[in-house]
Amino acid sequence: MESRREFLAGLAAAGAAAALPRAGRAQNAQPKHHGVIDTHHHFWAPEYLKLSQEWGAARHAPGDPRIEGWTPAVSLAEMDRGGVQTAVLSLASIRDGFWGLDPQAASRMVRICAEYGAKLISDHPGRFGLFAPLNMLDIDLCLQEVEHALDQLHADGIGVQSSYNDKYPGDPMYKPLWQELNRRKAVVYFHGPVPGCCGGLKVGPGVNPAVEEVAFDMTRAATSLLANGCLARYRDIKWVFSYGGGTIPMLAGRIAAFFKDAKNLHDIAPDGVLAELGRLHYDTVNVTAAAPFAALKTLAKPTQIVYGTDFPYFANDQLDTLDQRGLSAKDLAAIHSGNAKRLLPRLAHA
Amino acid sequence: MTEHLGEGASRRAFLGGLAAAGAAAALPAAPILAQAAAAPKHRGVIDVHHHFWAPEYLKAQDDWEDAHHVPHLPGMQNWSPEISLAEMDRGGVQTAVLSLASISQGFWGLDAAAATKVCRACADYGAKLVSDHRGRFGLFAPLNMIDVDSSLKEAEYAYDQVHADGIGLQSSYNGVYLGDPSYNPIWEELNRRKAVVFVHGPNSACCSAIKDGPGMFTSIVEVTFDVTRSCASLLMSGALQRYPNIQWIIAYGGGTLPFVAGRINNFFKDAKNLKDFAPNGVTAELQKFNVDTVNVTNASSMSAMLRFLPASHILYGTDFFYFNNDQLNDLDQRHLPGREMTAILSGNAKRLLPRLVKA
Repeated sequence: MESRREFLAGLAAAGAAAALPRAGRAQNAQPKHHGVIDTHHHFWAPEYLKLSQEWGAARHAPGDPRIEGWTPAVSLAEMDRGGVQTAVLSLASIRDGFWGLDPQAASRMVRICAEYGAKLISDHPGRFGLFAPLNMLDIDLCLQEVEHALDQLHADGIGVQSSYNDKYPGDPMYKPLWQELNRRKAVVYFHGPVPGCCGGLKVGPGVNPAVEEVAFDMTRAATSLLANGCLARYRDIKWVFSYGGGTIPMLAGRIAAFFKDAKNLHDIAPDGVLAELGRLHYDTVNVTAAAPFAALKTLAKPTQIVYGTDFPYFANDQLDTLDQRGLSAKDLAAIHSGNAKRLLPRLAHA
Repeated sequence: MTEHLGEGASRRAFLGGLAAAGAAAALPAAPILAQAAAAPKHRGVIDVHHHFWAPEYLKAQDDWEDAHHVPHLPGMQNWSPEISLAEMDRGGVQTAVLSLASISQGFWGLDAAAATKVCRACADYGAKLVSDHRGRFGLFAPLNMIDVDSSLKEAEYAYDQVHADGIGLQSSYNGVYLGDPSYNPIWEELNRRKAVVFVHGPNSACCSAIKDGPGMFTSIVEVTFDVTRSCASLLMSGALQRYPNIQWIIAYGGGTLPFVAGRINNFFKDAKNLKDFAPNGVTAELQKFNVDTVNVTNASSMSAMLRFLPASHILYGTDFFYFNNDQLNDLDQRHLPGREMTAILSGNAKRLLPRLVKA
């Protein structure tokens, strides 16, 4: 709870709230880009907002105006400002497992979110996609949620967090889930929470844990899947990792160095660790600066990189930074929308 | 207590992982290749990340491991200066700057008085290696970092009595990060001395017990996260700009700093108090750090490092005995301009640690 307070305070101090006010600028300038797909864009179903507010209030955490003031119209204004055709909706950081709910209650909330997302898709044709959430606490309920999301609501993929109550996706309990999603050739998108381990760290005044800890947690999730053989075993899942993989492109060599002589290397990474990590998909949230983008582009081909904003925390200004990376028009188009359309074919017809 | 057990468990996993991963390969490789008597490809290299175990220190570590049911790692038990020298000769390393490897639970759970005794023993032992093997070793002397007064005395001892080349610290001690205001007197003193401070990753209190899954062991990623945390901690506390005469060397290429610096900037670039901690902007402030090359000599990591920092801020390191001079071969494959390569292999270290020029 402390960490959430720090997170919000940190955001306010940092003026990261800039994302919202800027939407107002939209009226004037024509966006430089068109038909962009934003694969990392958050939404709050009213019931879900209430749940997270209650969780925060019980812990004396202040509200966040960007969350409380969010509406589909706010998203659409920012999308129009940036030239985003479609934003794929997913849940923002979840705390305490699934806000401290038991699996049944979490599962009910998951369905509410999925249905709300599906309604936004049909209310605004072509403007939204959906990575449907799972409760991730109870595997049988997760499997039912998958069926509901993909068969009933026709969600574009599944959106889960890098950890729940410090349980990472390579954990054996998730095996049946990955088997099912592999059978469905699903897109599985990972988002980073402030994990249980690290929200209360006293890193120092002003360092709110969202800055680094979510990127670290994303890295743990990818490494957990690698180390437990999930990347090799579930080849048909299209894995998408937020924040350019957290820090995966920076640590790829270190991870490879630790595993290169592992006895089970052939099982977990038949073509080597770097090849395994290079095969994943990564979004561009907060890694469009020269240094991280160079690492990302060196580890993964441009076909593996998809544009994302992390709205409403961050905005389409990231398109401008991406423009400065010296990408070819073809690669830039792939990152802006081509790769997302390949992964999420419904969006190609949007 | 659970925290301590957690560290123990994770360290066990780490050791098991190392054995499984054969990362201990660092050791066998030395004699095998040395026998082949191939002349090393490089010469005069300086390794700024190289570990040593004074007998008193090894005992403190062994006692802690025994108390927490953590097996001892043979590479530590068997380490000797000769093993280091053999690997240095194999790689063409002229001088290795010695520092302590990852410490758990503060300073192995010792109180400040006991920790300070071990720190002095390490400083003495390191200094003896420096004088016994002329030109082959340098020393980043440890501080206990549990108690400020005794840490200051250790710094005085390290500089004035044993003439260490710098100070070697962990990125956190019992969950306290280097930007913590309690450390300000230490930074003031080290700033006055224009010290080089090497920052290494510990078995962190928060995260050594994280269950990433059975196939995972936490040292792979967690030590790099912990040094990155301390970089942010030094930035946001203002220590980085308040103590400009300290030359920081951050292990593992800064952990993940070159990759997350853009994210840190995006969060803080519009902060109201930016002038207090980063008068020239977050990126400029973070670019004051020097980093070593441990496990970041591959293409993707180096591409981030070289865009984030000038080559003059990058120093070669091995993390021996965990990893070895095979990393020189990786570095060769980055095809850096000769001048930059020389700077990374030795020039930057000689600039920061002038005693090594005369070595």
